[in-house]
Amino acid sequence: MFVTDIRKDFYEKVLHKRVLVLVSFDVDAICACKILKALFHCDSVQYTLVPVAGKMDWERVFSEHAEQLEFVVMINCGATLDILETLQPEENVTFFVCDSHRPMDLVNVYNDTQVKLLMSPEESIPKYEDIFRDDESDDEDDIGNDSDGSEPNGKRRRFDEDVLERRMERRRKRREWDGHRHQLLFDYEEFSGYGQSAAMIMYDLAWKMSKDTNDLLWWAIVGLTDQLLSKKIDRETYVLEATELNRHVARHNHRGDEEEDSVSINSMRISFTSELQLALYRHWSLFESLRHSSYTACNLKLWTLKGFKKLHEFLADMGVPLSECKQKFSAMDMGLKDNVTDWLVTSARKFGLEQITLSSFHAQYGFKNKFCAFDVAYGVNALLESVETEKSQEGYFLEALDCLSRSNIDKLAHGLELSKRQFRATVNTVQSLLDMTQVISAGSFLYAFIQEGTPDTRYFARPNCLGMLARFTLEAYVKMSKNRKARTLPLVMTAPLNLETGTLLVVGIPPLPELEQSSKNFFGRAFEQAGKKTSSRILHDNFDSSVIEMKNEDRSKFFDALISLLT
Amino acid sequence: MAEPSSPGPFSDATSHDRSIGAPSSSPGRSDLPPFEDESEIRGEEEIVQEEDEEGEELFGDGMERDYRVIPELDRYDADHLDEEDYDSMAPDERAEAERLMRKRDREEAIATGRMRPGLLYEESDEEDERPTRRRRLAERAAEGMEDDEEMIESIENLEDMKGHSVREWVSMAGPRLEIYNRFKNFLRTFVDDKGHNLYREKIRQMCEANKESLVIDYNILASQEQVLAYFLPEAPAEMLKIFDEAAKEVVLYMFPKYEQIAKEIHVRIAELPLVEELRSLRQLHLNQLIRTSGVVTSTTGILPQLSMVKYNCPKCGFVLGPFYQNQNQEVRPGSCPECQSGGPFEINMEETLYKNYQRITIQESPGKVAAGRLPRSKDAILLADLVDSAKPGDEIELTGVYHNNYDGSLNTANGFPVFATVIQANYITKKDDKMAVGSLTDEDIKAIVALSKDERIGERIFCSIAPSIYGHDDIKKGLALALFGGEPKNPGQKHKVRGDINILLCGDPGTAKSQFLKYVEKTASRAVFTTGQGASAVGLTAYVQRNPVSREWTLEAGALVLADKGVCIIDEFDKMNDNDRTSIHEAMEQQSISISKAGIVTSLHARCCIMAAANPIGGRYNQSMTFSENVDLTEPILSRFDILCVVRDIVDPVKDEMLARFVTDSHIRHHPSNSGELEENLPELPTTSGLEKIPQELFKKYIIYAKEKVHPKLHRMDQDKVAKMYSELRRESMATGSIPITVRHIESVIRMAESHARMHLREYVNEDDVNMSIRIMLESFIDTQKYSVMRSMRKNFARYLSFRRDNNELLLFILKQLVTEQMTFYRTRYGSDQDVIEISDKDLADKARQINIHNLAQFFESEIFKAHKFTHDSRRKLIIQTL
Repeated sequence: MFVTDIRKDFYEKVLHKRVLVLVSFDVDAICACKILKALFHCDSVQYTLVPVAGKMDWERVFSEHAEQLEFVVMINCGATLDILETLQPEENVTFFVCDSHRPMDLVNVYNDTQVKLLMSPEESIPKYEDIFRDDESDDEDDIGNDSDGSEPNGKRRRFDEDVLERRMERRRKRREWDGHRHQLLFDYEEFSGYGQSAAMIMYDLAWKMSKDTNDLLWWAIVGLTDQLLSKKIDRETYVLEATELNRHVARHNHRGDEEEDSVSINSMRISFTSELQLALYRHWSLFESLRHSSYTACNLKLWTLKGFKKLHEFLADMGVPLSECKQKFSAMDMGLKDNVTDWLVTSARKFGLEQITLSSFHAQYGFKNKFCAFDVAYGVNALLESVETEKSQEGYFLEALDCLSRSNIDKLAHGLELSKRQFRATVNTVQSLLDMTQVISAGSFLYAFIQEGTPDTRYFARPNCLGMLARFTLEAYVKMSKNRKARTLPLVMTAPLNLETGTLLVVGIPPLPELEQSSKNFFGRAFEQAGKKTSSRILHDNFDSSVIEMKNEDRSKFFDALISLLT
Repeated sequence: MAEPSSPGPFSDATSHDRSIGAPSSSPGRSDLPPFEDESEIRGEEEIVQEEDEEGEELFGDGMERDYRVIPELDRYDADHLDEEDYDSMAPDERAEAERLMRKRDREEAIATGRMRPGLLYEESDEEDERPTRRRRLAERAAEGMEDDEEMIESIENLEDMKGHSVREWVSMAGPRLEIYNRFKNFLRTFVDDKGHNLYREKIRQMCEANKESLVIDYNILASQEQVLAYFLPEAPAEMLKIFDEAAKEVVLYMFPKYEQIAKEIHVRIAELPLVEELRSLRQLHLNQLIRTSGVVTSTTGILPQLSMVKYNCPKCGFVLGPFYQNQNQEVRPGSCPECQSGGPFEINMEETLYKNYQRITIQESPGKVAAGRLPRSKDAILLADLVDSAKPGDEIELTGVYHNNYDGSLNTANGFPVFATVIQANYITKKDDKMAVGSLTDEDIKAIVALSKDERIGERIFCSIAPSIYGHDDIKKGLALALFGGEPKNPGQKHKVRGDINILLCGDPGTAKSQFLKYVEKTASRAVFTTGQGASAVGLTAYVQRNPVSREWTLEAGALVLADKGVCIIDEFDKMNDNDRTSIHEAMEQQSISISKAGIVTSLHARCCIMAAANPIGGRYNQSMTFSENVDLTEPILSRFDILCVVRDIVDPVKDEMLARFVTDSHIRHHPSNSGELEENLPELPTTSGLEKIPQELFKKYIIYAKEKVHPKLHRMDQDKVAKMYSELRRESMATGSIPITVRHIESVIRMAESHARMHLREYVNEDDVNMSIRIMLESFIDTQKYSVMRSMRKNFARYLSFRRDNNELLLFILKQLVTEQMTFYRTRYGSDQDVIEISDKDLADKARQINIHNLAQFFESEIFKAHKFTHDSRRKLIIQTL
């Protein structure tokens, strides 16, 4: 059931109890977890924090920790699965689920006792009576009767026509209802998508308890920004939510107009400004950033010679010398640095890049540390999906968790470095995919395989990074393709996951217009069906249904099935 | 009233008109008939008067506005000006004539229904388009002009200098503005014959690269704006200044913020038609724009030159200036405007602007000096972005202003005033980068790309190498690969891995080895040709010399250094001294030359590919010995060559006949006085049948383009294949003891694969490239074996060798082997040569089966079979060759 008063029904219940917190591997979840952690710290709530990578992990962790605990909080995991069915918990265990994945499992939605959803109800959820029947006992009776009737006794004949007719009637109704239910469920589950960011919900909780600070706010911002960057929400939703957050920003960062009243430079200050959609440009050089950001790269077609010339023309139009924009942004000439954003926006308009700006948040503490929410989200993501081998998955998770704290700037800086590498690998791969025309149209969708062997492939063994690459590739392909239909095609991309076991990571992303508006993704079900049809060895482990793992050998038959399914 | 004593067209008609208050603003401007028509006009006077009045009524009061003073329009048209002198007339006679002419003009205007005199010309047939355009431009310019500038009239007939010298005329405000506008308009509107706005495009390219030089082709300027082109060489300093300003305005119009990137735009004049020798510069050329050529012998360091100076007044602290420095003398302030002190002032270091300044000395090219004379040299000044555009040793072509400057020491030496001269450079081109990619036109690139789409481009390139040499396909392949070259790598910036492919031709005399090298010299973009005898160790690398002028030790580059990024060709490699030969070891693998002599410790680049030709010991290649026994070259040097080509002069009657035919053909075809017709009539030669040769000019461009633009990557290379081949090769090499196989050979394979990919303008190395490179590698290796080993080895490696080889060629090869066996057999048995050789086709079929060829029917039908004078007698199951 949905929790109406998050403070009373959730927080006060877990207060002074031991809580198990399960967090999935994404930036939003990490931010939400970070906020929740801060709240727990305030109230000395004992908690066990376990990151879970996938569904199997999730079940295992629960079974390991199940004995001592009564309360389980799940962040960005669980809502799409039937919790009670899968985990088989004791009666006294209560689950609090805060998950941005959609669609939610309906059993979770309508369970009153054990599953509490910390989310706002949505309209699209089918009504209870359409899905579940309370007269099940009646039905069972009936069925029982039926089975009784099948036994050879003479009573049956004594049923008069009336009874028979009633039963026929009931069956017909039942069939009708079943059909309707099926239809509803199909409509409901056809597309997977995303709801409100978990970090936002957690921040909401903190706010309701008057425990919100600038730090918590910043994490909520990062969580929201990540949702935008991984295209989980569209721009409009983002802008709406951002304006919502801006109110909080204003509340926290406005201390009157007087100079002496303003906060010390050492405390954190968040501001709401319009920001360029250039990845990491504050921490990179302008030139590199322009090259590696998907928006500019795709619109200027930077993988062609012509596009590259256009980029130079663009820079000349901006009036920034090449030597300046190729060096670190922070080392750029002050006069240029102050104005470069304005110039960039003006020139961008001339080159048809109207959407280059987007309102976003900046955090500043001290003179040196100025971060944009976009960059932090990229950095955290890169840390989370780091390809360095010395740590375990959990290690990366904790690293990512840590880097959000203000005291761990160097970790964030490391994250930004990693993110740059990710971008480079992405752009290189997109370039080679396009150069070698490896994005292939299968009629109703596009697909591309990342070949193993190149050093860059290891980056794409992570779902978020592969998703980023897939979106980049799709956008690039659509811009390059002469085929007008390309715009309406979705893309499936595979990358080698593990060379030893010969597994592949497969990700499906919806076509561009939908990617921009609503992130509705039908690949979850399509993959499932294709897998079933060909009995391929696929694994639906990720909480995102559009990300699956697959055996290398099954690829061709799986794709054949997918092609026949989608045409 | 006009003075009667000022006859002819030079009188200032405009002002004169206004003073007499005539309504027309454009007298004497339309197609004036000569004055002889006077009487005729006078006769019509009355009618004219009437019509005049009618006209006034027709157009009402508003008409006055059309006659408002537009000084910019009141100009003579250059093309229709009557410049001849006429006899003077009596004052009243002249006044009368003028009045008449005005009337007639107006009448004409009314007749065509036009009132604006400026538009009159559009209707009249004799007029061409240009004056109208120019007038519109002037009008436009006038509209956008500031008030004070509007006072200055633009001048329609710019070439009329009113008795001034060009220089004076150009520096006057009026003509200046006119030149400014005309040049600006030229930049904006010039469209080449393909409809591209050429200079708009050039400005865009310039801005993309953040450059500040705009190159203008003089010939285009001359065709569009004759007057400017006429003034330019006469008063270059002033004209270029105006051009620079105009160009800057155009640039800023296109890229409004470009000023942040480059403060100034320089117009560079290219393709000045007249090229003067340094030797022939005379007093006549002083202060003119000249173009000359020479070799840069020395350059100074780059110094900051004062461009805009500000002075501090030490007495009152006032900052004087800015003063703009000119090239000739230092500008100094007389007195401080604040405290009236007379100085001395000191330069304000912070606010003064500087520009780059460099002096270079150019000397006549060695080839151009007449025998028995010493080469002359001249100093040139390079400013701004031209500095460091030429380095010592470069052969350059220099366009610049020939200036004189005062030199005190010369005067004392000569005892009377003489001036030193210096060229202030405007535009520099290096001779050797004339063929660089920048100079490739769009059509060239289009042609190149189209060419690369050809499926058989590889084979076409191979056969286009030295088209006048018959056969030797393996050498041609090797040379082609070397010309394209691999991709140099620099892992971690710590050590370089060579990308160039070295090649050694070794073989019998008279097998066109030197011809090949000569061909490469002509084709490669940068080639240095030396011979073994004529080259010494230092001559190849670098030598230290005492500069005769400065008495300092200077480094002079040797052949390998001069061939940097090009090809160094060494003929008669075996004739070279052993000591000298070792000096190129470093250059061949490390691609650098390290020097430590006379206090100079340095390392020079020598990134060149080396092509060498050598003769075997004793002149003839002995098949029964291995390669290293055959040539007098040491192991280290042999292993540095990627490809070894053994050229043997084998007696093969058919082939020899074809060769002879080819040579005679070639001689007939290429006779100097031969026209193109005959060429078509002659049949193509067999080896090239089906393959169209690439024209040599295009081929050159193709190489340049491929080398510059294509950088093939090893994406998914078949590593196993290379590894396997390497281990096999190494085993064979140990067993047979011919040339050593080292790690270098793996690199060679990679390089060749890259080169082959580049040949196809591919960005990625694919399977084909690797196979081809392995094949060439192996062929080169097997050729170096003893005859006895060679055959078994060929069989071992057959699967690599058969790549891309036509089945027919392969079969032919086998068939020829059979023929030779047969012949030897007959010769030893009967002691005489056979004219007809018969071979059972079963033998061939057996052999063919070994290499997986089962169907021979096609081969028997093929051209190549017949061309070698084979016939197949299916009845007798014999293959017959008649010699």
